[in-house]
Amino acid sequence: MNSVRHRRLVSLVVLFLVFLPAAAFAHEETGGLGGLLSGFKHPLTGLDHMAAMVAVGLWGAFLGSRAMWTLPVVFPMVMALGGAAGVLGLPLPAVETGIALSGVILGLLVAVAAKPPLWVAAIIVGLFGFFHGHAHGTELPKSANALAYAIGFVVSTGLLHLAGIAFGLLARWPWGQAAVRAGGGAIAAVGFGFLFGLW
Amino acid sequence: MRRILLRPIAAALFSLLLFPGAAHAHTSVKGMGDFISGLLHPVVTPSHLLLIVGLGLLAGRKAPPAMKWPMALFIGLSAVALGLTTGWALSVHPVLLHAVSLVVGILLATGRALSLAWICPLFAFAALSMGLDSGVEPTTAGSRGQILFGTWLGLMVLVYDVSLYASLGAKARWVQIAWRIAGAWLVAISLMMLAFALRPPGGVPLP
Repeated sequence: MNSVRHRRLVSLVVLFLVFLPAAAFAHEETGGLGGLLSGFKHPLTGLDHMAAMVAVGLWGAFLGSRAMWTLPVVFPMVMALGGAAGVLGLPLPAVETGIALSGVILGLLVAVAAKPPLWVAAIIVGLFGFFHGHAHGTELPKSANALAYAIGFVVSTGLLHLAGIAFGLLARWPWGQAAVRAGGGAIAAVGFGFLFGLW
Repeated sequence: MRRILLRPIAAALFSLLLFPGAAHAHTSVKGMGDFISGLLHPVVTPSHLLLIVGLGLLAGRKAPPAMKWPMALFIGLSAVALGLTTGWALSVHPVLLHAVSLVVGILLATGRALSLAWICPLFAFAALSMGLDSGVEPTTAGSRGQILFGTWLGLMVLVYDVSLYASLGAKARWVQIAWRIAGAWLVAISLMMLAFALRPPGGVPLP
């Protein structure tokens, strides 16, 4: 019995490591490959983006099987709406505050083990996704290939969600629940840091 | 009333589809023959590849025999569209290509069962838009013919392959979830591309 649990735990840790995105290194960021790398790196180079996107997966896994895939479906779609608004130059006030708040709120929701109805969770995640997307859209490097950039940042975002889901699945065990809630607390702390300019 | 509303929409779509102007033309890839170069064109054109994968996943929800009409439409109309790029030098506005991808992504992400009345027009628009977007830069008739024939085969084989493999796992719960996530990604990418295509010339000033 213990051996099965041990194997499951090892599998989860391996899964987490496999889906843990790492920054890619490129010499130039022009053309298709440059755009792809540039887009892929964008969510990974800001701890505020990374923390919130991991939190989405973490919360989804914590909420249950339906939320586990619904939230990572909602987030990129609304994020792209925000990205489109950013590309088109539509103003959005307090973007950085919204991004920092996303880490705080999502982290706290995981930390206090909040389990609202799925539609409420989807609205919260979608709202913050819009802020993240707006930042992606306005910060697009001029040299980047637009399509490759879009593919890169959507895939990178998805991998961050998967990393969060893999960690969140630990909540199936009592000790794992504590670890996941602590992870939520850490994400909220990162968000607070950005909110008050400590990072 | 409904017809009055539909007519201008149809006219707008048609004008976007038969957009005279610079096609995203392709030339032979150095070191490859014309035919192979055409065959690989849908693979090396990311906007086409995304749409092909989306169409394949959408088609994969149904058993292959149920897809004979959409596939027949796709095969026929992609050939017509590729032919139009030679005789009339027509192209497609990028907005249409991304709009079709967006619709395909939304249908995948929502996971609803689709009737052929939805799938057939989508396959038709996708075939026309990808075919018109695959024009060949001026070259000899033989070379152009080989490239276009290769492109046509490439489009067909890719859509068929993706749909066939997708249909094999269609009943598995985790596969259905994976497709919905893939659909969400396709929506996100298409929305961004639509924004880039509709952005005013010269871009907008960054804050």
